Amino acid sequence: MKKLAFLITGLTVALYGTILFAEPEAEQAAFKSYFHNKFPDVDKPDFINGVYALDSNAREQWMEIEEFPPYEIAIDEGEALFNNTRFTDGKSYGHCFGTRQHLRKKYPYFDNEKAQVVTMELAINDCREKHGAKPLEYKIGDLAKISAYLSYHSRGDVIDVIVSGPAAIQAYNKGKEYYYTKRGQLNFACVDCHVSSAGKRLRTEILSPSLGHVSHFPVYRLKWGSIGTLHRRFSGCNSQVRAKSQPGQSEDYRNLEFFLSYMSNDLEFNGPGVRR
Amino acid sequence: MTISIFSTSKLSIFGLCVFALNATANPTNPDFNALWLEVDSFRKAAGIQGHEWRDTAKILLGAKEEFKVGNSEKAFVLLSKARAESIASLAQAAREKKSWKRRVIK
Repeated sequence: MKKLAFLITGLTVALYGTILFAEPEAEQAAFKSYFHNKFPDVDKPDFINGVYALDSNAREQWMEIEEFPPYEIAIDEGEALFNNTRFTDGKSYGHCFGTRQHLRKKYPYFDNEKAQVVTMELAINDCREKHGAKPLEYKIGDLAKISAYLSYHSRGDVIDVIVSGPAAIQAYNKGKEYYYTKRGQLNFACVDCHVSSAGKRLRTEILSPSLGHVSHFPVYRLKWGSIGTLHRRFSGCNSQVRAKSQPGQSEDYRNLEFFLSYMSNDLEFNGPGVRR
Repeated sequence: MTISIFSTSKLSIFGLCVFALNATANPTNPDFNALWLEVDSFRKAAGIQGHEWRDTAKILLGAKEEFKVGNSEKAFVLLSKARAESIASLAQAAREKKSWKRRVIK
């Protein structure tokens, strides 16, 4: 009898574990398939170009801007910041990250020791604090420039976020909940604009699909007149639906980045980008 | 005899209305401050659940400023607006606890 109870318990735990771990994979497949079916004419790898994958006129204008991209200055400044900064202990960013190449694809990841999602921007500031420097502002300025430089040297790398283990799945689920939850006075969720209304017009702009959203950040937005991080954009979205926005690298935003990045797995990084 | 047409509850509502009108017409600091603190606690409760709206805090601050300079009528209008926002944001938070799940792409 004891053996039977033990066997049933074991099977239940195994089954629950399988369901728990299988969910993100199944959800990712459903997410991708939704966009592939909704936009059958868009080549799958082209989703990294957001709205420019959907609209030929907008694409033409964007490609013209890309001839002399306004983010180039940010890349150069980011390079100088990354290579020339010496912290008070004599160390540099290189001591934390090693090479500049292929860094973007390591992030975001779930750090089991810290029990939190670590993004590239968080890691940059962690490096600074570890070596006695003040953290940089998360949404704009020098941090966005360093991020632009590192992203540029990760172009062509593939998004490969791993969601494994109960704590990582919990962070994924929190990000998912944030994505699908309506907020603000306008009562909008991310999904309302970037899934069900993706491809439709909102005033003069076409709403971009969520698939591939994270690939091209940081971006130089013509509206901003400067380069900004993904969390600056999250914050702007919150504000547009009249919800209180959160600080850059808040737990909610990091979990959201984790979820969205996982949804875009197998697509290429192509940041920094330029957007209207 | 005429008073018998009012039930106890009707009298209570009548009393509350008179109180509210008095408070608006001739508000005192304790009235305003107590109401302000109550609305601010609604705002904070919504914020803890990640559902504070963008402008509620600004409206509340505006109400305080107006009251400070003696524009009590405008102060109560703003306070009432902030109250409506914070109550609606709390309702949104309660509603979304479950309803977000229906939107997940499966």
